Amino acid sequence: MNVTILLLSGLAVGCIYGLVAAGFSMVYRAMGLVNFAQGDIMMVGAFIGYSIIVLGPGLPFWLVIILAALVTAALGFLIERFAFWPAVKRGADQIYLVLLTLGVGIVLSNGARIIWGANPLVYPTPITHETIMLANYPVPGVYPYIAAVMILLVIGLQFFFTRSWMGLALRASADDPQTASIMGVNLGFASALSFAIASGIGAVAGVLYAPITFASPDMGLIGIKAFAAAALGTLGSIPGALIGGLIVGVGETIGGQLLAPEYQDSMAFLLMIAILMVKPTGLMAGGPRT
Amino acid sequence: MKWLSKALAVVWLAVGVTPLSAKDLPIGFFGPMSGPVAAYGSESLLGAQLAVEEINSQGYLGADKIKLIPADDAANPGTAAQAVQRMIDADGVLAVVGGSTSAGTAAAIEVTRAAEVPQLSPLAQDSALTQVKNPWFARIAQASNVWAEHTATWLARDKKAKSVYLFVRNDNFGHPLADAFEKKAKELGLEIKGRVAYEPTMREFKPLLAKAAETKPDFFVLWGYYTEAGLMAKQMAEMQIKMPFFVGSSIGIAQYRDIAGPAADGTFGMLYYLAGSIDTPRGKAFLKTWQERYKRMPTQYEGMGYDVMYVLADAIKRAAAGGKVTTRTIRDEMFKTKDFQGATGPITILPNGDVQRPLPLAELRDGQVILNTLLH
Repeated sequence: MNVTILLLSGLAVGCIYGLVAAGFSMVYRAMGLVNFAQGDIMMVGAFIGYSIIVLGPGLPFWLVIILAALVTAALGFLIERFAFWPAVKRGADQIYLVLLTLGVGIVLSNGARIIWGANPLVYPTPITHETIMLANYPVPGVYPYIAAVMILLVIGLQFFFTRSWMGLALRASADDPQTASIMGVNLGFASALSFAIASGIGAVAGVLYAPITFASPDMGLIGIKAFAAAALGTLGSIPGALIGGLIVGVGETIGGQLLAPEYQDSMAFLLMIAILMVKPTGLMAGGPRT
Repeated sequence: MKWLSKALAVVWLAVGVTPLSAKDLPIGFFGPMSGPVAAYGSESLLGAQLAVEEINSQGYLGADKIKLIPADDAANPGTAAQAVQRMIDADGVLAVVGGSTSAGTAAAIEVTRAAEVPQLSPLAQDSALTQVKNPWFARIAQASNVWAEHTATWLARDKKAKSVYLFVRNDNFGHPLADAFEKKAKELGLEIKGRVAYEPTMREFKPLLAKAAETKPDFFVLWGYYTEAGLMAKQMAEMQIKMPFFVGSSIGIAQYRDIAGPAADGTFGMLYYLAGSIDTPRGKAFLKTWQERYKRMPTQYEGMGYDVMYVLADAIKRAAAGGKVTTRTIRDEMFKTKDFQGATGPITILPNGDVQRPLPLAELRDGQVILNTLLH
């Protein structure tokens, strides 16, 4: 029984890593930038979810996820417009842009501390402490939401990037910015929209992760593991990020149990190193954007 | 002579000084007021602030007043050391109260010792802090070996436990407690089925819990912080692991109960102080004042913050009575503290800087912390 419970737990946490990793990959594809603020955007999303629950105690949890994603996406849009795009437009070097993302992350973390306080906040909703039976195995009440969101997001993103004009425009501007621009795609808007979607997905991860643990200003630290997931799944590939997240989540849970639980937190990086040694461009074909 | 007093008043106003007989006594205070263990610092500060308010308004130190200079170390030892250095250099503090974590305190005592400024900690437990014969450091919290030995004895004798599994936070809070516990457990014949150290950033404890449950001990014992205790209790319930769980001082922290939810019920712990457990006039007076002010019972950290400030003020008072208030005379008097009637019980500072005071063992039942045994 324990192995199944651990596997389910690993998959659930892996989905969270995968969602944050998808945000990393989306911004990397759109702007060629590793956004180290992604973990902190997830943290802000978790706190926004907390505020929505407090302000609307009767709201269904799925609506909390959507509202938190929309508010955080709007915040992401503004961050891109006012913090990143001016620097990109002035031709700032990649290293400075990465430092800028670290700075934005620190501002978000301290801002959250000022707004929501330093103490960990527990979602005041029954789902936080609810345990349900799934095929005779006890699992936290939030797990079905994680599974449903993961499936819907994969389908939704696939549809968005292959069937919608906007999604195709985003892909075009990421793959060949000059040609896309000639064809009428507004590169600035495309970049801001990608950042907003990545932020919205980050918020979804935060709202789903908070009932498993709690919302706290330091929960953005999860971004480091998510970055490892994005890297081993090939930075820039959204399916790769999701798969990478699942590998890290299951790997650290099962690996921790089989090897030594005290090294569980290092497992994400061991897996990343092992996979990148065998396949330096990550698991997905195509390799990273150059 | 009216003109003379008026002239003197004008001179005082012009130079912006208060009469020489009334002094501000700068006292530093540091601890984590942000971050995942903010409760340790912010709650002890709240208790200290109430004590300072009383000390100043009731003339405990005559005309002199304590000026508290707080600093947030965010549970970061480097930040703690910098904050203490700054309050010594820039504010000229006569004493430093803190820290609220062992790691932060360990970093700060290097600074206070070099500067020869007395330091009194309300919460730091690491036994090593008082083993280095530092003449400038004392604390009003029992050392980790005292906590751990009492816990082992209580589990073996009162709870009739035959075996335990230890979860240890991988830092100088967790390991000294676990080491002392293991040593005492061996003496008592209490079997250690396993001991696992976890990183302070860990949030997913299920692999650890699963492995520990396989060994079938009588008790799980955690030497860690309340966020970890809350998550472990919650994840145990999710995995349907039913095991008596000792969570240390976490039992008295509201956030532990919030994070663990219903799983917190039935867990055991040991507190620095449990409101209502001290049946002395001072203990009762403190409860009355606190409840009138905050409309709730004080937490263990608030009680300790309140008492640490009074112990220090008492030392300053005795130093003043001796004719000179300096860092050295405050230090000397601080170490002479004997049977001080604190709100959290009688306090005696021992020659090595450790303390002798009551220690409550408790259980969480129906959301309430119930006193099990008050050890002296």
